[in-house]
Amino acid sequence: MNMIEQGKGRLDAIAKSDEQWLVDAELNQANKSWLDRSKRIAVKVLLTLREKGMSQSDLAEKLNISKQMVSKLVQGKENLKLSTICNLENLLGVDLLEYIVTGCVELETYSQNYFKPEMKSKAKNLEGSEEYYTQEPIEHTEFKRFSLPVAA
Amino acid sequence: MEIHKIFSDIYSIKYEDQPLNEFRRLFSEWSNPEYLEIFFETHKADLNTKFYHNMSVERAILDTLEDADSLEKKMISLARGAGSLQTMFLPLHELERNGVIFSDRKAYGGMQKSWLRIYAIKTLDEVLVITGGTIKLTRSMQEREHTNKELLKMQRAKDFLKQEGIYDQNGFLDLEF
Repeated sequence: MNMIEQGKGRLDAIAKSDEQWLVDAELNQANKSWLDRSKRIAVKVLLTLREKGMSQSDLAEKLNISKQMVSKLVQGKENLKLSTICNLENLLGVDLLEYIVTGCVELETYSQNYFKPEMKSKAKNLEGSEEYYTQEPIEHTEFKRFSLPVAA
Repeated sequence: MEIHKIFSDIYSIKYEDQPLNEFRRLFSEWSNPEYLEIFFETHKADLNTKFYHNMSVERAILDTLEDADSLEKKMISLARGAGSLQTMFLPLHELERNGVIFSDRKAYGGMQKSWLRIYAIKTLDEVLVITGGTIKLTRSMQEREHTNKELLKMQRAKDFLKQEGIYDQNGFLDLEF
């Protein structure tokens, strides 16, 4: 067995398997619809708290909710009730539901003749050649950017 | 320090002072509005430049959440066998030579010009060990403490792999950062 094979074998011998990340990641994607909205609310709440000089403890106290719930809220992990959203809006003086709707993110995934990293340096020289057009297309994801209203 | 196997030939370092391995820590932080708000408030001066068109903290957070989501989707796809993570990584140093045990690699977020970075070292047997990652707002890693720290983590990971006898000491490339 050569040194390289030993390296991989030794690595596997001491490595702990982390299979949970995939479970968690797929759960995130399954719940993406409400999690995205929860995160946007979290962003607006955090920005408003800073602007008003309020702490998360102040928020918990004024809304009569636990600090743990506020912590989940600002991490975008809380599946908020409408009543909680309304209380937040009234307290902070912001329209959270409108903020969620403004600037929904659109994703576009498409395939194109996009050079793999190892080919990029050669790309210019290859342009127009047969090799250029026979590169295997790879999936490429790009965002359509949105415009957020700028606070006055 | 521990090594966690993520999927296929992708491993991640878990440092003693972190509850999660680096791979998981990155996605946890990049999808957390609270973490991002503090990060971009701290580094607001880097956003307030011509390069970033004086980007607001708000915009920076929302962009990062999108990028992290896109990257997570890509990772799920790779873990399910669609494509190779190797193609997502680019050499960290321009002067990369063949025949070295370790080479530093970096992965960009799901979109071009993303500031999300995952740092890894690659061995000759095509194993990628993720050593860390961060949000990189400046041109060079040495310019900011949090990015410079990633270089040190990369070196610590290499030392660990050597000390554990996982890879031979021979053939290391003296890296120029």
